[in-house]
Amino acid sequence: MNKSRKLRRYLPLYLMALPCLIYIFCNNYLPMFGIIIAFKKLNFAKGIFGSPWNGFNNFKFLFTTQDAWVITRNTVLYNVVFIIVGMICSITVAILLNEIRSKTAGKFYQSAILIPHLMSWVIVSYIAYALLSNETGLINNSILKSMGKEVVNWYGEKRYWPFILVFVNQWKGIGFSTIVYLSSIVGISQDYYEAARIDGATKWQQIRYITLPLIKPTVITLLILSLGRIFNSDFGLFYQLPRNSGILYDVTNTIDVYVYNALMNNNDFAKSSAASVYQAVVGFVLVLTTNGIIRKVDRENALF
Amino acid sequence: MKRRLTALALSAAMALSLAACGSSGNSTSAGAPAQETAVQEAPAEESAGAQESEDADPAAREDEKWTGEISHISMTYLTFGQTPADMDKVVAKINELTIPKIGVEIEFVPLGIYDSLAQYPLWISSGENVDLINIAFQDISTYINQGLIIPLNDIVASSAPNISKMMQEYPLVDGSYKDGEFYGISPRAQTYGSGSSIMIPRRVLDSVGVVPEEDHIYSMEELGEIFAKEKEAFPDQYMMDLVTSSITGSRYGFYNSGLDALGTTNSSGLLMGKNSTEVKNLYATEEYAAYLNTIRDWYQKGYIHPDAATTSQTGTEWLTGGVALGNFVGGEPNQLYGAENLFGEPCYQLQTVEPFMPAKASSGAFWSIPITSKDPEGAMRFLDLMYDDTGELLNLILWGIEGEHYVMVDPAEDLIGFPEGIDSTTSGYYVSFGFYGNRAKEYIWDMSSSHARCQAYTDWAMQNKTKGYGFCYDPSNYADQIAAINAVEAQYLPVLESGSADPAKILPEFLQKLDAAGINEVIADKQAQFDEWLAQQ
Repeated sequence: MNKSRKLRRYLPLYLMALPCLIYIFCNNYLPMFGIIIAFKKLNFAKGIFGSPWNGFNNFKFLFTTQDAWVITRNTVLYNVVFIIVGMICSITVAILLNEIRSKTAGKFYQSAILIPHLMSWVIVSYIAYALLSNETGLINNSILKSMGKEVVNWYGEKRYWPFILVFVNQWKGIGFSTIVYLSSIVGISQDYYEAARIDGATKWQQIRYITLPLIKPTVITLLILSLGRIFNSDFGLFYQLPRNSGILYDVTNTIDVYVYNALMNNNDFAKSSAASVYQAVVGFVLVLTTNGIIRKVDRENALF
Repeated sequence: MKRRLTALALSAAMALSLAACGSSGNSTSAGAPAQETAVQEAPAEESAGAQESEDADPAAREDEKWTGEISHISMTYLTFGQTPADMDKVVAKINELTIPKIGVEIEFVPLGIYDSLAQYPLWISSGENVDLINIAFQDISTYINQGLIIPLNDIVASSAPNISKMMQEYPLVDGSYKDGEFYGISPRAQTYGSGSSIMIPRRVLDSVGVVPEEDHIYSMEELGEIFAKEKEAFPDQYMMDLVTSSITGSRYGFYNSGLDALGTTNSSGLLMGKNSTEVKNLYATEEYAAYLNTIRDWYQKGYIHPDAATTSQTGTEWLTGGVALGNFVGGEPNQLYGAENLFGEPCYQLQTVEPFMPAKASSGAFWSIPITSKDPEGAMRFLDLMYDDTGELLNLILWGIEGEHYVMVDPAEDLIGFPEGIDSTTSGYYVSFGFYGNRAKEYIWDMSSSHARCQAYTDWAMQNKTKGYGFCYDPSNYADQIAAINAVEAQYLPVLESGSADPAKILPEFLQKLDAAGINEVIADKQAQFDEWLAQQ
């Protein structure tokens, strides 16, 4: 009796959630049956279920070379750097934007920062290519040469790429996260600041003791959201930007790029599924671990 | 309570999805036998028809009208990326020929040649219906091993009289065998043998005073001297169309004769020199290191485009755009015409490699029938007509409609030319991929590729058979290692072979990764199989 009444009460809510649930089911759960492919010696004539089992043989290809280690390391480390650098940069920019008094100027800067976020990676990669290419690139031909310095073969030198990738990622992504922080800063009541000003607090003190503590919940939510995606990489960034230059793989190859290349070069569905399953499993473990750590430190903010 | 409901919903969903998968699995497995029976039934009718026509004289065969059901066949039509404007017109003309004659209504599926690599497996795995695909510039064994294409033995025997006959004489199906069945049919080539040459516009060589000798084999040093003169006269241009951004194999063979990968690729080792019986790791040889040093030197001297390893442009674009002045191609005399078209001016052909006959003699392009084809027998009828003695269908597909896209200049030599006021850029149908059937019947545009010259080239190559001629390595036991080696090659070859990085630094790293990927085990396996075969000879 009690149960059915409860159900009736919540039914509209469930109905409202239904389209989303169906979407998630189709998009996230249905494809999971493809995991089987990773353990099959795939033969299309026999179909997926008819193909013979292959044990863990498809995974061997991943571990015969050091690839598995390199792509895991790159994916995780780049994401950690992106999260930290991204947070610092966007909070700083958000606070600065908030301090601009002229409304038009504020709107202008905000849009200017946001524009790169709206560009596709292909376009960004060509902008980078216009700067870095050997034959016509701006940096090599107009800057380094006129300064009498040796030209740099950008797409052939590993050491520059960690910086290039972090920089471009920030340039492109900062606008969006700034807006999120800015909206929560704008939401802070002006009364606090007025009271602080009357007590003689400096600008820095206002930021340190009012703004930052009050946006802490937003920061933590965004942090956990991005930690949940720590094992996904932005395919466009890592594939388009280095122009898939093989010599850079040690510093640019991430799991998504690797799966794509494995599928495109070898046309091997079973092996690319194996790499994809590897990503899913290790990613799952990582998310559980981070969440576990957060729960230990601050139980309230853990995801589950 | 809420949790239990979610669990219920999830398990229901799982059951649903399993049911869905199960049924789709069933339908495919049920579909396959149905297809097979269709294949088996059809030849019964067909072979009766074929027998009659064999008995009748050729004239009667010409008049033979198709009485059976009309097959609707779709065939991939590879282009350089642009679908010719008059394609539908040509297809209509083809159907005028094939519907009454063999009962096939054809449909072209235009596809850029670079897209075909990724498209075919996706098409086939998603069940799209294509009846005839052309696997060119890629490895057919992947398709065979994954069961994407069907074996052709029975179907050729029952409904392809022209192909059956030609197979006896020419290596049409070499390289597509697995377990005694073949899966692909290559065109009957105009020439057989492997060689290379560089095409350079006459204007360029004349202006720097180089007089090329015909049939002389130019070494890398000689080429370097020529390039130096060219660079002095044309400082803003590059001496070759070398783009390495997407290469998957070494270009060492463009400068060295007698390299034989024994039916597969260099990643599993190769014979070096026509008298060699030792399977070697090309990348670890001194010759390869020396070759890389020369390439590096050329790069630094500006003969090679500085962005060769990263550009998304193609060598063809550099040639037509006037960026590059040399076009590396095979050594066959019929390559000249294509090169002159790219440059838009007359060229010299400088041979860089003495032609030879390696283990794998077929051209590497195969016609195959995907498992998704609903009418493999009809597809084979159409394919077979491309291999007939008249060359009618073949020339229609290749060159379009006579009088509209080409005119006959000299019927005795099969020489054709463009009609008044039309050239390769304004023609509505000009895609010069020679993939279609009996290429000995192809019309030619230029006397440099006359049937006589092509024959002379084949004869030259036949004098230089490698020790592996006739052998084919079976790499199936080492597929994982080879996939790993291929990945390493794809990573390092673009920079090494363009000269854009110092080989002294990069080559050791490359070799070490090849070792880790297991190249030595694969080479040992290849050597063992080859020795066994040699002992039987």
